[in-house]
Amino acid sequence: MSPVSAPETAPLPQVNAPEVVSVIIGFIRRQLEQTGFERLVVGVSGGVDSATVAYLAVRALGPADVLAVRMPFRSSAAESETDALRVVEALGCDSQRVDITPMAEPMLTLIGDGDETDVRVRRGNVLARLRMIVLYDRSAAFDALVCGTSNKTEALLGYGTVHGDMAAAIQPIGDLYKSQLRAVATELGVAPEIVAKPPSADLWPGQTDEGELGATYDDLDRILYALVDRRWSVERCVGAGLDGALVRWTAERVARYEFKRQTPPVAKVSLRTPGIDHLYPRRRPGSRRGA
Amino acid sequence: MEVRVALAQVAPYLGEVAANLEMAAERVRASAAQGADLVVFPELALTGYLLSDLVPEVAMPATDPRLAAMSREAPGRLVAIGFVEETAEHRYANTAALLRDGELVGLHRKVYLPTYGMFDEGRFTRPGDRIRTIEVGEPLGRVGLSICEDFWHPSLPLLQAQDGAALLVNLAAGPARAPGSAAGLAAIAGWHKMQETYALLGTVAVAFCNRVGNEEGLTFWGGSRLIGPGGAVIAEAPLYEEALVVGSLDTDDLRMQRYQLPILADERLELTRRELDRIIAERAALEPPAEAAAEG
Repeated sequence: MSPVSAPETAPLPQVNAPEVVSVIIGFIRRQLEQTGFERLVVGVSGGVDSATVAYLAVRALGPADVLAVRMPFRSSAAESETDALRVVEALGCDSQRVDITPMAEPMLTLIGDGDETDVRVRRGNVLARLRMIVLYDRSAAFDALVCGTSNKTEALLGYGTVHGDMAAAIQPIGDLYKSQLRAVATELGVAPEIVAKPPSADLWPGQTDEGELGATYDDLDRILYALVDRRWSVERCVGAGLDGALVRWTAERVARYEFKRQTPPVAKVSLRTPGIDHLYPRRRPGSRRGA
Repeated sequence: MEVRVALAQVAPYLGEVAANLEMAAERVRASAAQGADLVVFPELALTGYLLSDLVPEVAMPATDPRLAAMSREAPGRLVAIGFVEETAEHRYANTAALLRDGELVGLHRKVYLPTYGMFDEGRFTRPGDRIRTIEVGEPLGRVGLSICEDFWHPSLPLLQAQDGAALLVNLAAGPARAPGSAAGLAAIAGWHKMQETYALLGTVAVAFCNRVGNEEGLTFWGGSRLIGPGGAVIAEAPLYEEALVVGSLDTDDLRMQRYQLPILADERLELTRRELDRIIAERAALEPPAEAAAEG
């Protein structure tokens, strides 16, 4: 008889933080070299994702070549700003504060009142896109690229705003799950308070990612790691003890938000079409500015 | 004897196998109602074309009961249809199945997977390694299946003609390049020339069924055609629109064409093979085969 094996379990994705840090630092340096830029702009919210990216950027380039931009809205939590300042002070990089409230108000007035989910999402999208406008404007002034702060969990779940927080020139942490990011943040020396606090887009008071998504990041990461990285079927996930309804919800969400992870399709009507049969690496000979 | 061939020029739903099976069953019934002995669907009609990582999700074995059930919609008639096949060894192939009464009569795995320009097939499926014909019984006899790009390699259809095919069936998912422009029309004209040339040189009938519809940025051009041995167009579907066209082949036409133009019988296969052996050896910088060396 063959030995009885233990039932399969679905673990959290693991990460070798020192190795990942070294890979990402190399990535940032090479990307800048290939584009002819020497600086990065990072929006710093006080959360663990943007803190991790800011630390990585400073480790890659040094504090003088990183600009951290804090962009509070009138309803932003005070502790977000405190934590964002904590990051900036620890890194010793340049920082600017741009209150997006006066930019946002006219647009929010157009959207009108209401606390229904769709109105809140629309307001949240406006804030995310205004922050994108500020970051791109500052990147032009600072002669820098905009560095993204999206992680793999939110990219797969489509939990982000197209042309908002998802807009960036590079995405250093885009292949790290939220649960892995905490280990990377700790490795980099991000303050434990920032690593431990409940993740939030801070778009309205009391909002948390886990409250809005209806599941913990650990549960979601176990499921995503099984479905995506290990290519497990829904049935196998359930067999490994994951919650069936949550697994199905997650799988559907990954499919539904595929569009957010890709550039829009171009209708092919010519002999060579960008994205279809005009295919080049984004960074290549000639792509470096001033070359 | 008359053989009626239906070309089901459809627009499959990308990744939706159940919906495509239902659509196929409906076309199979409609073809039978029009007296078709054989209905031909496009390449990957049960799955859609730009599958990427959907390949393992939509794949099925050639003996899948869903395929069999679909073919039973028209008792006694042949159905040629494209799908993603998963073999027992978990090899994924772009495959055309020939079915009748729920039985798999034969299959062809796409040999030439275009992986250039707008195509990336070799990234997601593996090539077939057989070029055969399939015995389907009287009056047609043998049929040679091929899939789209296979037809851009003349060795394949002409081998099938030599192997006894009375009808070459090509299942296609041809995306338009520069539709409406001179270049786009030239691409379609290239396909027309190819079909007529194989019919003429193989003295064989050709059924070409190309899909329509749109996936991502690609638009498939349709224009399915039935060509008689000799190259005459018997039936033709419109460009870009779904259609079910039926045309008749007459096996007597094939017989008389092969009498008046006996090029298939005159083909020097042993000479072709000897020269091929020599070319293959030279390309690989090997010693030429003994026979060729002796004659040299």
